[in-house]
Amino acid sequence: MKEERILGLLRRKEPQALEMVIDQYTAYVSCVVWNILQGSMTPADAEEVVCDVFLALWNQAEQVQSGRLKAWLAAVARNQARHKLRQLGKDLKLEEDFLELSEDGLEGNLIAQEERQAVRQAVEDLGEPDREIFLRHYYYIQPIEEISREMGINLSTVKSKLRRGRQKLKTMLQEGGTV
Amino acid sequence: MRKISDLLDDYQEDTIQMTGKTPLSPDRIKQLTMGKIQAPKRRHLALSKIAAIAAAVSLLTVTAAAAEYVWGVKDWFGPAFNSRVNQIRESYERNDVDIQVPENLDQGQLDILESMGQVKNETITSNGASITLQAVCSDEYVMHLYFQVEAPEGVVLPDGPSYSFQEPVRGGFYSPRRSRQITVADHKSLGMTDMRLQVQPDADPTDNKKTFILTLYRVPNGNAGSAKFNDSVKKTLNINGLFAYERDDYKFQTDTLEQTFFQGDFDFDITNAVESKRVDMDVKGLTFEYPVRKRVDGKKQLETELMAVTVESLRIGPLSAEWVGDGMAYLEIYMKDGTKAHSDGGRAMDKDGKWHETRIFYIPIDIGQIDYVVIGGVHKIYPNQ
Repeated sequence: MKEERILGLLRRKEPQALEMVIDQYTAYVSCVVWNILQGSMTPADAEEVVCDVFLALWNQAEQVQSGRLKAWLAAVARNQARHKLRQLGKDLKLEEDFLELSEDGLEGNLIAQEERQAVRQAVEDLGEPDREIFLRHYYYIQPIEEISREMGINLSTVKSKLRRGRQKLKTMLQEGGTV
Repeated sequence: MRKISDLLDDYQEDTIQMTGKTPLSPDRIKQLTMGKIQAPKRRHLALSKIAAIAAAVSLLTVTAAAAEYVWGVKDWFGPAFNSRVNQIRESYERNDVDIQVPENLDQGQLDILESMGQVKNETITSNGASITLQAVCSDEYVMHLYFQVEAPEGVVLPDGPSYSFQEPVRGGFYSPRRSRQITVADHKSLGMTDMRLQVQPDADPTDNKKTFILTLYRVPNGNAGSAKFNDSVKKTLNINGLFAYERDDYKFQTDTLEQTFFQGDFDFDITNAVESKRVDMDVKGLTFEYPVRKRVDGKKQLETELMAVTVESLRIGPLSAEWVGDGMAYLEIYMKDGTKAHSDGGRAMDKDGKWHETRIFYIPIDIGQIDYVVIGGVHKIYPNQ
């Protein structure tokens, strides 16, 4: 069934539509959630987080644009899992998560919309496979060893491409007048 | 300093295939989620629309497999049976019982459910309350019905009470609150019938909605030539309202009314003509001794006595087993995957003094996967014997 139809049924609170979404996206959402939690919770507790993602869709289906369902689920799954992690007092396990940017220019000069645009542009400009590596690690919080294994790229190459991505993002944010 | 992971919070990404394995159970997630949502009351209209939309879309899109999706019997009952399986497993773990319990219903069991039932999708409104019969499934002796109930506005249906669809009817001897609720056409009879109402997990115990599985079972009581739960003889179930009775684990049944949530008149056609599936085990004439507690020689205290039992017949269907003998028996059914078919049931004596007992399986079984049956604790019977 077309996504537009499914969203329409969800907005009318038809449980069948939610079940279709669950059938199609449980593996994906579970993977997003589990990568972020990385053993900080039991599988049973993590299942509750995945459940919350689908319940959020059930309650907020009108916010989802047609054609953007998967991205919406990923964003909600990511936020829910990160929120749980913060509640547990734990942090993401990432390869250098920090960018050294001056805080001075952020206030006033940068509005959220511009920052989002700059980040998107920086990521898109990376090209493949750098973009995928960057997103797998910093968006999906996939460990670099797994990225290396799944994409068939050796570990040092993954690290160097992540470094390049970080630099690109920093440059883009600075050139965009955001720092 | 900015965190890159924070900068990506608003990023919209859906191009990467994340397929890594996780220890999370898709079935439990589905069960958990579907158990927390409350379906709207006008489901019958919505479902017909879904079918129409699905049919239309199938002509227009290449995603034909998804377009053919229809909400089936297994979709209604699957999560409820899975929930039951989990309850059994937790109970065994608490009590250190070493018996294998399946993880969830497998595809074979779901297919069995689908083949044994139909989606009814009928809503009846009475006195401001509405009850929707979503689906039924049955074999010869047991019928499960999936109901969604919406009490009148302002009436809260909380978690906890011992719910019943049966109104209190005074004057009965054995069970005063059990009124006759199933009407069978053509002067046929189901024998003795009884029912159980199981409330399903609820996202909001402060609203006026609840979901129930009603299980009807029959003990033929020597009237085997009459109606069955899966034949074409028209059967009507009358529900008089929703009530809560005082829960008392020490009484077999209780008739103390705790609360009336609403009363009304809800007549549902529960006819479910589907193909009968059963295995008739070769047990005729088997004898064993069964321990019973009884008073001996007028003594005050009960003593255990061994009672000789002769078995007449044993039939096993996907939802139930029915056996006939001249006493009580302990029945164990083992499946080829090492699991056991868990059941409970009821019995009645016919006019010739034979006992008829119907065992209700907690979850459906694939009768082709029965390994063996132990009857009376001594006889091990294989289906092909």
